[in-house]
Formats: sequence, structure tokens, C-alpha cells
Amino acid sequence: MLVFPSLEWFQELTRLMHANEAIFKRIGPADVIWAVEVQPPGSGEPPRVCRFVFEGYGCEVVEELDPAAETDAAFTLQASFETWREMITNIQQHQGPDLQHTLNYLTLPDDPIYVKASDFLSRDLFARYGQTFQKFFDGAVEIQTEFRM
Amino acid sequence: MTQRTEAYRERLKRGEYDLSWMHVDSEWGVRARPSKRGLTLTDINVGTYGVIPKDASHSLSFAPRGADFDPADLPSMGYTLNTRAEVWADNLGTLYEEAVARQWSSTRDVPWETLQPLPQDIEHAMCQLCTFFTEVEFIAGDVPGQWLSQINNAYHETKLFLATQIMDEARHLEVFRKRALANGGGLGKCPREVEEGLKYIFALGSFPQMLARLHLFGEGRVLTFFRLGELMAQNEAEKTIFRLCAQDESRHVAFGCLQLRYLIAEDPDRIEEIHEALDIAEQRVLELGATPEQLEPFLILLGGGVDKMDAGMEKFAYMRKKIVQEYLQRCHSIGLDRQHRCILKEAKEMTLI
Repeated sequence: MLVFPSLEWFQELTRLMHANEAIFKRIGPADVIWAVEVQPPGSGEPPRVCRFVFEGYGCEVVEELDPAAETDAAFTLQASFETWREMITNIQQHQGPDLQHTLNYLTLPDDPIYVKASDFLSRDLFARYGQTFQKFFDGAVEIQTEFRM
Repeated sequence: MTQRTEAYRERLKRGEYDLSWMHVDSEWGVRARPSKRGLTLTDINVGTYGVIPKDASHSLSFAPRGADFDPADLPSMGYTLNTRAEVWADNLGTLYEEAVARQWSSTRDVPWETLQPLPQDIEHAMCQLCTFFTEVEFIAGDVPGQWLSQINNAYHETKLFLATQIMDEARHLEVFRKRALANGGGLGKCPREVEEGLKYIFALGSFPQMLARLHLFGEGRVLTFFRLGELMAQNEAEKTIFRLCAQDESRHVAFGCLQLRYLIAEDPDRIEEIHEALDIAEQRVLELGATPEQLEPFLILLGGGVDKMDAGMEKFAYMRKKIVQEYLQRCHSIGLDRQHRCILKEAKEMTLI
């Protein structure tokens, strides 16, 4: 059982990406550095930020960052812990997201997930590799998860 | 036969070969190394082969960059786009490799089996939307095709990318036609206003103006429409269609933006030309307005049915603002200060990041 959010949970997601390389090879390579920010339910607590370096068909680096430091990433997916929990639980319950819990559905209105980027052309990378990101998170189906923050 | 080929024929009859072509003045001994991905377009840009000429107007033939040839000796193809500033951007080779590697098949990669009968109004709306997108994708392929043959071969990376865009747009119109004909509906209506709004793109006077109108303005809007399509999708097949199309569209937007950004940096005198193309694009949007065939499918799909179009209208109004915001943000990213000149009403209310 792995705790979400945690570096170990995201490392497992990365391990699953590599184990399912055939899926990502079919989609095509993705070269992008991006991050996930999980905002705590209570005030006063810092968010958890995890950064991913996607290269080719896999993820070369997954690391947790100091939330106070500048994130060196094309964009960051920012959302509350509750939003991430709902999305991941939905993926796990349905063997993939239902129609209202895909990454695009949750990000397009800028709420509940916001795609933060300092340069808009970098922000567009989210859509440019959209299928890769979706399949990456779909790997959560195989992670026994305890949600705790 | 020419004098040269006639003389060569005579030599051949005597059993003599020429082999003078083995003595080349081009760079020789090149051993480009494959990178992790394989041997990419960027990997082979070594030595003189990777020198992108600032001006290639002295050489208007099919001869590839770096080959041994006398431009004065070769027929002119009359290329009109012969400067690096106009048709180049850094990372075009990488963008091309990405385009090639991320191709998908509408036959195999869409889970068509997940289509289920939909309520009649929803099916009608989705089919009308697909009809509209098919029209859009016809021109999105035709226009780059028109310009591709004007680009000097010294800038083959640009030509290669445009070829991938044409392939992408072909695949898009294919998949939308398939969706319209796969679930009990059919193709819808094609109003004059949509066709007029698309046709004038052919009349734009320059390649940068085409990039501004088609890639920056048009493909940016369509990208958001595709993402909206994914949001409105009724099944996994439609989700996949719109998500994959959005990937391609995002690449086209990047291509146009990178090129315009390069041009603006290299030749700021051309900024006004870009603004003029966007002036016309915005004016056309306002003049033609929205037709029921374009707007109402969105309202039905966003609202959830013909009886919920008012709810759909609220969501669509939000999306309209988002489209304008994203367009202005992209202009800002490429070094084009557009907000003060934009005549779309949503522009006045915006704060750009």
C-alpha cells in the first residue's frame, strides 16, 4: 500500500509506465519536464510538488521538490488533495477515468485542476502530449493507494 | 538528349565510364551519429549540412542543402520563400521528428466499439460538429499545401513539417467523417458563412500572414474546440478522437508560433504585416458571426440536450473568453503585443500573465 501523495507513489507510477512501455511506444515519444502540485486540505500546510522528466517513452527523473523553490518545469498541474483523490479513485474504480474524470475534462475549465505555466507556449505542451499524460495517470489502476495528507 | 548526355552515350558505346561525380566539392567524410532516439534530422545537421542560409534566393532548384551544384546551371523553380527569417525557427527538426513519431491511425487507435446509440439530439449535435470540423480540416490541409511548394529547399525542415501537418489534417477530416457515419447519424449542413470564413485564408498575401491567420489564430481556436470536444464526449471513442486531434493541433500551433517568434526577432519590421492578418481574421469573425449550425451543437453537447441549451450557452460563453485569452497569451509569448489592437470584445476584460 502506498500513500498518496508521496514520492514513492509517483515512483511506482513511473515504474508502471516503464513496465507498460508498449502502450507509450504506440503513442509516441514525449520530451517534456512537468510537475504535479497537491494542495493540502488545511491551510498553513505546504503543498507537495513532484517533478517528472519525460524523455522518449519513459520518465528519466521523478523527484519531490521543495514547494518554496522555483519549479523548473514547462507547466505544473495544480489541484487540491481532494481533487487528486477523486480522480485517482475514479480511475481505480473504473479501470480508467470515466467521462468526467479525464485530465482534459478536469483542466479545460481551469478548475478543479489548473495548468500553471510562466510561458503559454510551454503550457500548450500539456495538450501536445495529452494522450501520454492520460495513460501515465491511468497506471494508478494498479497501485494500492492510501490517501493521506 | 543534351550535348552532355549525347557525348556520354558515345563514351558508353566505347566501354568508357565517367565517374567524375565521385569528385565532389561538397563536404565529405561525414559520419552523423545516431542519438538515443535513432538518427534524427537534428543529428544529421553536421558541419556545412547544418548551416541554415540566411538567404537562399540565389538557388531555386531541387538541389538539397549541402549538395555539389552550380545554381546558375539549374532550372529555377521560382520559389518565393527564400530567407531564413521568413520560414525558419529553431527546433523545427525536433518538431518534425515528434510529428512523425506521434502519428496515429483512425482505423486502429480509436476504440470504435465503445460507440453506443445516443439520444437523437445529442447524435445530431455531434454529427453536425463533425461536419464542421471536416470543413475546417480540408482548408487546414489545403493552405499549407499551397505554401509548401513555395519554400526554398534549403529549408527542408520547414517543408517536412508542413507535410506532416497536411497528413495530420487529412487524418482529422478522415476521423470526423468516420464518427459522423458510425453511430446512426450522418453528415450535417455546410452553411455559406462557414465556407466564406474559411475561403479567404487562401487570399492572404504572405507566408507570415498565413502563419498568423491559420496557425496562431485558427489552429489555436480549433485546439480549444478539440479540447472542448473531449470534455463533451459521450464515450471513450470520442474522448480518444478529440484528445489525439488536440495533440496534433497543439503541434501545429507550436510550429506557427515558433516561426512567427523567430521572424519577429529577426525582422521586427514585419510585425505590422502580422497584425494586419490578425486584424482581418478578427474582423471576419465579427462580420460573419455565429451560425446556428456552428453554435447550437456546442450548446446541446455542453448543456446535455436540446432542453438544456441555456446551460450550454453559459459554459460556451466561458469557453469563448478562454479562446480569446489563449490567443492573446500566445501572441504575448511570441513577442506580439496584440491586446490593445484586438477587436474581439472579450479582449478588453482580460489580464494577461
